[in-house]
Amino acid sequence: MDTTVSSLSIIVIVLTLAVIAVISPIIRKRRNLITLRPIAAYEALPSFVGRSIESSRPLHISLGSAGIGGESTLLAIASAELAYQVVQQAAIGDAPPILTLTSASAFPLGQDTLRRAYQSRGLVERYSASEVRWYPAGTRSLAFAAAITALQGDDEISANIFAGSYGAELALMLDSAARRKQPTIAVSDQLEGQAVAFALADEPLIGEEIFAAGSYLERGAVQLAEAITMDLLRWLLILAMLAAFIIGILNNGGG
Amino acid sequence: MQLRLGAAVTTAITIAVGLVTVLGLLLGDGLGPLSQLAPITGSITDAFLQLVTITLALTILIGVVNLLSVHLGRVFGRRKGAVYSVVLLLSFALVIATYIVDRDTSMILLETVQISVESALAGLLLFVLVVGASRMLRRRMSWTGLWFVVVLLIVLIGALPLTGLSAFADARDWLLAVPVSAGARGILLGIALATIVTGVRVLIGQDRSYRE
Repeated sequence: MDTTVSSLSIIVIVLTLAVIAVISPIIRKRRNLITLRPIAAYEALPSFVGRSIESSRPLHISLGSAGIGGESTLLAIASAELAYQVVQQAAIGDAPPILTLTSASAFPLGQDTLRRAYQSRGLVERYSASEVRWYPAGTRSLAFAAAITALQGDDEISANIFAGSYGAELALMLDSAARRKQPTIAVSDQLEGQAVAFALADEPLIGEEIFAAGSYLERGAVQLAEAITMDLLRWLLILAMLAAFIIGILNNGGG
Repeated sequence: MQLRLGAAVTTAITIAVGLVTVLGLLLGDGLGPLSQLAPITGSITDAFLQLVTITLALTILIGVVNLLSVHLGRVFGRRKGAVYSVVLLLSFALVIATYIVDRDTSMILLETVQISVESALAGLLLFVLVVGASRMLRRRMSWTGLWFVVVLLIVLIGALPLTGLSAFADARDWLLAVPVSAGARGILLGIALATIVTGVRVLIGQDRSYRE
């Protein structure tokens, strides 16, 4: 790795670590003072869960091709956090939530997430490993999209949450859900998938909002510290870009 | 108490492995005293990454077992869509059998069935996207929705290979080069920053999986 990139990476990681370490204890004491901007998808989640429980139809959560061991590792962890929060709420319903994924590496993560969510509600006996379903297909797979559209019909899904890595094939799944009048939340780390999610999902999440699931749904001190750190890093980046822009103009003017 | 001790040990191991791997990937020449650690952390990181590769290969086997158990359960439970599960199980058996007997036949099956089906679905995508855009206008009539559809129309018209549409083509090129590119970079930067924060949370042992 290039020395500059290495140095910058180390600085950013240490900075992030320092900010989280400093902010977490403060938030632990003054949690109620933190106000997060509203995100429609997170506000709609309880109604998704309520719909599933009342209709006794399963909620479908999908990680897409996000998996462990590649570029989407941390996205898979963030998506699993969202799945945990949703399953924890929906666990008391008659129809157990279904988690689908296409990366085999995310399979143990999915099963562990579901098991822990049931365990946290004292309902671990209701956990079934077969509610995590692996569909063998790679990135941007249309076969995976076809399998999900079949699942939406066969399992009489109540609502869908697509939080992971998708390409344009997400359109097929969202269209199928719309035809079956199943509400959807969608987000992708791929630009094509994100554009489709924005256009076709009932409640889209944009980019990094998926990583803030814990901050919005649990409001733990560490999760809130994470959200604030993300904002802080974003502002630092904006300032750095503005500074680079101004320095560039000054250099060109001087030269 | 035993469980808590177990969780603490696994958390400590995970944090240690995570930190060594990060150091192994980041450290190199030109980082002062830290550079001396590079050969050690680098070789440990390589070993860890090899272990990860082997573990990931094993997860495919777990996935196959899951796939078969879900669909066998569907068939024997005579649940809705069981006929598709029968097709899947038969296809699975057929592919395994042909792969063992003659690998070329297996590849022919893949090319004639899966690729054809995926191509057909890819063809449907365009129509689904256009229908989706019109549905969005009906359902979520807002300024952002309107902007989205206007820009979509300009881009689609600008892409047509017809004469007399150079203004649309220019507008399309500008849209793709400036606002679309800026927006895309913004989204990707946001994801990158969030990824770093999540990574640090995992590294310092604050992830939920360590606590429960």
